[in-house]
Amino acid sequence: MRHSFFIIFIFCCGYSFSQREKVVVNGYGHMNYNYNNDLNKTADPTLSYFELGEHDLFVNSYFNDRISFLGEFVVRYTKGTPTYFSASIERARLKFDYYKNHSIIAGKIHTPINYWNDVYHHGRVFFPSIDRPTAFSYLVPLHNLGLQFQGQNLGKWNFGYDVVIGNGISATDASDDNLSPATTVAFHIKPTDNWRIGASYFYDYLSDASVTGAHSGHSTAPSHIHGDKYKGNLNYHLISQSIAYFGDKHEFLNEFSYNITHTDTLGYANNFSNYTYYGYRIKEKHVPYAIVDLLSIAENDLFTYHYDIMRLWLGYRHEFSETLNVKAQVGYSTNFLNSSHSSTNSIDFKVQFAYGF
Amino acid sequence: MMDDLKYAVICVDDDPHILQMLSFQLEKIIDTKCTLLEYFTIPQDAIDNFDELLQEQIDVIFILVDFQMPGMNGAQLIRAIKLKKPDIACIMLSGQANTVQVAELEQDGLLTCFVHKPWDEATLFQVLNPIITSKS
Repeated sequence: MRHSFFIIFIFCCGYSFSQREKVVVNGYGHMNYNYNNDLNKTADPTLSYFELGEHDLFVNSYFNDRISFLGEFVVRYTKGTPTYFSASIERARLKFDYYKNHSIIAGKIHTPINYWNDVYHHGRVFFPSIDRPTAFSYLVPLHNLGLQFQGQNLGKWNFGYDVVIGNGISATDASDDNLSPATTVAFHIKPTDNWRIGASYFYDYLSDASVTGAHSGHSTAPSHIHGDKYKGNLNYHLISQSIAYFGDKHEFLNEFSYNITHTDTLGYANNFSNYTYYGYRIKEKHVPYAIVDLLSIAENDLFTYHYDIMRLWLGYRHEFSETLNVKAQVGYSTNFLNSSHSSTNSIDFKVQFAYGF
Repeated sequence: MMDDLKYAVICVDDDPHILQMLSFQLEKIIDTKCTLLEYFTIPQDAIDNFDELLQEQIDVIFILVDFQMPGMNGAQLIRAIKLKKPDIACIMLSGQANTVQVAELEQDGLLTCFVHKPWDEATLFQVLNPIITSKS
């Protein structure tokens, strides 16, 4: 009996090792120089500093033809921590291709909302510009932990779909604060290799809106009166659409998100963001670009603090290779709505070196 | 800066998020250079502050109160304030007010207006603008 167990053990080990044929490890990092001039002349009106950015270890492991693992681990500067750096598991997902281009994915994923969160997220060397859209820090639930049903490159339009059932915004990587899972439904088409047009809907119910987990792009906003966070229940809806074209000459990306939060206290709050990027490749390695980035958070939103901002950027990207580029951007940020409470009026200049290894 | 303050507005609601929303809206129609906007979650704190403002000879233009609050309800608060300053405008903003007590306030001529929660910004401004402009 003990002998047969030993044989089974050896067989299993041998099987798993022989099937673990391919492990691919990549790393991505960036460093920035930032200059900011606050034209409102509040405290410290001008800042000038160098910044060590995210460093991202990306691991792909293929167990066999159908089962693979993707892990992404990020180390970044985090103020207030003992070492001034924090590490996080950004993605850890086990993927099973059960039929042709259809898959089931389990684990921590990037929520398939819009183009940027789904396609780039980390690895600045892939970004067409220096920063992510502003909506990343406010509206987009960046991660989710759960099950994802995915289909890609289906039919002549290269149709793709994602259905995600996960813990959602108020969850951490180990728990959720309620029984209700977050639901994401997304689809896209790729009429040609350069195009990608997509739309998505995300819904989550938070039984206590003051609890913000690891998966939202921001923490819950405290009221500026008494500093309390809203502790009531909250319904979070996010509808998004994106159009992306990255051709040999022209590069275009537009992402629009419409967010509705509902609370018993202040009813429906309507928020939106729109990010438009256009780049033109002058020569093989030279890409000047322009960005218009808008965000508006309503006064009666109790999850995200009332805010509106318009960021205009002009930039230039020089690609030394596929895994090394430098970008420079100059921008102006201001309020574009009648936002009497927060006032933004600043000029920024940034340079970024982004690399992969 | 304090020398420029001639007027004040007091808002009382036990929910700070209601007060936050009111602050966003009131700042659109009130000149904060000459008007102090005060927010309280406890009715007694509002009464204490009201006394201080009277002593400092700052004219309180109106008081905006919720009905259901701990310690003292909105009707009781309005009656207490009206005893101190009979000509002050009192607006109640509530979703769960006791209709009998509100009707008594109206019969006694103590309530300027009642606004239902959730409220519409335009409706609130329609009520407040005549009160504000009468002081300017």
